[in-house]
Amino acid sequence: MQTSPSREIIHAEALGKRFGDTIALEDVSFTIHGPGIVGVLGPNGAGKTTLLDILEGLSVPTSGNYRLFGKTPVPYPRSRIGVVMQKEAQIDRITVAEYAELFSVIFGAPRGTEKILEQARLAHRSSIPVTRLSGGEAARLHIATAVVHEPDLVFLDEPTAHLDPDNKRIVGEFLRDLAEHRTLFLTTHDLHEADVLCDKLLFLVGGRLRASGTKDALVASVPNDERRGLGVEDAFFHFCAIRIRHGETAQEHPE
Amino acid sequence: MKAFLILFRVRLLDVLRSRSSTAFVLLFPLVLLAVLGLVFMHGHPFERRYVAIVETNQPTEAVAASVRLLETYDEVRVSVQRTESEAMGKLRTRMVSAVLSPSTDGPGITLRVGERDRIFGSGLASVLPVPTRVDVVRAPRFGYVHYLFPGILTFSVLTAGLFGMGYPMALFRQNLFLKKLATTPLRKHTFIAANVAARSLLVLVQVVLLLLVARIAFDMPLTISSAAWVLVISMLGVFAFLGAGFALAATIKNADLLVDIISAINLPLVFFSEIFFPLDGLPKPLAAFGSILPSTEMVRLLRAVLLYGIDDASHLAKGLALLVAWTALMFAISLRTFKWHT
Repeated sequence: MQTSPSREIIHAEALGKRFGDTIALEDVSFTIHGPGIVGVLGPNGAGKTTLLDILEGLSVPTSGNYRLFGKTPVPYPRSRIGVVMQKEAQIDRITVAEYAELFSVIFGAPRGTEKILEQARLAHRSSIPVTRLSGGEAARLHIATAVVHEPDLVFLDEPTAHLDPDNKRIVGEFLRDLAEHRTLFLTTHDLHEADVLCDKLLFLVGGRLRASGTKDALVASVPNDERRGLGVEDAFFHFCAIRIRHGETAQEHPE
Repeated sequence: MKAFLILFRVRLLDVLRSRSSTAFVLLFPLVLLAVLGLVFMHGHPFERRYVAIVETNQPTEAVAASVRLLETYDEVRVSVQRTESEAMGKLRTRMVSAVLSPSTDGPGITLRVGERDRIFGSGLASVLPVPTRVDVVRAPRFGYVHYLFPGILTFSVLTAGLFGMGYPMALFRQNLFLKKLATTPLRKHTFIAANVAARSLLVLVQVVLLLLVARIAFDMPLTISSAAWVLVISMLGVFAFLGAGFALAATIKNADLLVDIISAINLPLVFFSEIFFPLDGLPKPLAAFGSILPSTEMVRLLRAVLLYGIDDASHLAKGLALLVAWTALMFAISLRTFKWHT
């Protein structure tokens, strides 16, 4: 299945999540149209994973609501969604081929095992345990597994964290290819990666959405005196960092 | 020395900061003492000698008079068995010291004893109020091993079920495999069924191996019918224990705590499940508790088919139904409480 251009993929309205007295997410609203790569940027503890957990149907928001593909996600459309977790499952004594086969069968993807191995460029490593893959190989395997069923929307939680620059580039190219026909919604705190990869950005700090919009629009809205020619980094510091420093509540920037 | 002190403190606090670890380290021995104290409060299980009689609607006067007399002795207990083969099975496995039955050639009684109980038989005959003939019966060399075997088999199945299902589930939760599966269309029924099937197959192989070794090395009486029943009973037992392991893992999310709790449950179960000795040696509330456990029922069913020659389904139906009920209850709890992700 492929995402039609400009079709509504995610619409979040005043999403909030509390864990006891701790506010993890507060009043987060945005709309995403596909295809393309949407990056959620924010420092550690910004609420990125909490937001992803909610949108992935793994956690229920304590306030607000959201739609996926224009509908309330009940039942949750698992077959149209792919997920790459921040810390993927470490299963002992399962080979790469068995791992690929397991998820191919679960998602009902014909010739899925071969497809995963080919996409992840791991055919030559199919008989080794998953736990023995390098960071880059494991990232490719998990991403290829998450898209084996051709989902319309893929959530990726910091997919390139802990990768070396070369592997970051390889995985980045892989993601760009995947985003041609579908929407990738990824979190990162790597400003450079966001600049290179993402079409649209959400700046999340302290559980609140500070700004959202296309990369170009956000960068263009940075006042000249704050520009250092660093693109997304300038935008992020303009909308978030100064406010983080001063503990201010930021005004949300329109798309 | 400073490094020693820091490491000492870190290791100590590692335990003390975990309520479950502290409770296990400090309380488990106390619980064990309490359990064993209760189990053996009336002495050790073989202190008393058991004399079996076969249940009948109209006992002869000689048998009735003998039973009345035996009941006045604290060191002897009369154990009523449903069938002759059950009574003889218990004699062969040394669970009773004598089988008392009406004499076939006179008004008195016959007392059958094993080769190692000839003096006991003679002593008993000398105090009984009716003419008594003592017959010495040849008991198998491994009689008590035969008695223990169903218990060992049950314990293996119990451990395979509780640990084999509980621990991997808790690990799957900790290493995020369950969370990963939560992001897929996999149904939890499929996941549970696959885990149960894989474990059951392993247990089946384990049971077959145990039966073979018991037959070859310990001369375990085995027929095609009894072997088939052992497999059926073992499978029902493993379903019940896998269900219990799954229910525990669905409730307790931490793998270490789960292992502690399963260990803490496992040991008392050994004493309450007739693995080493019959429940009637226990205080009544404990015996009542033990008799409803699936492990006890499994041991009893296995003994019935292996040692007492029972292969009629109607005689086993009640026990089998109890195992099915335990299985249904455990899986109902599992399905209700199991969550991919918390």
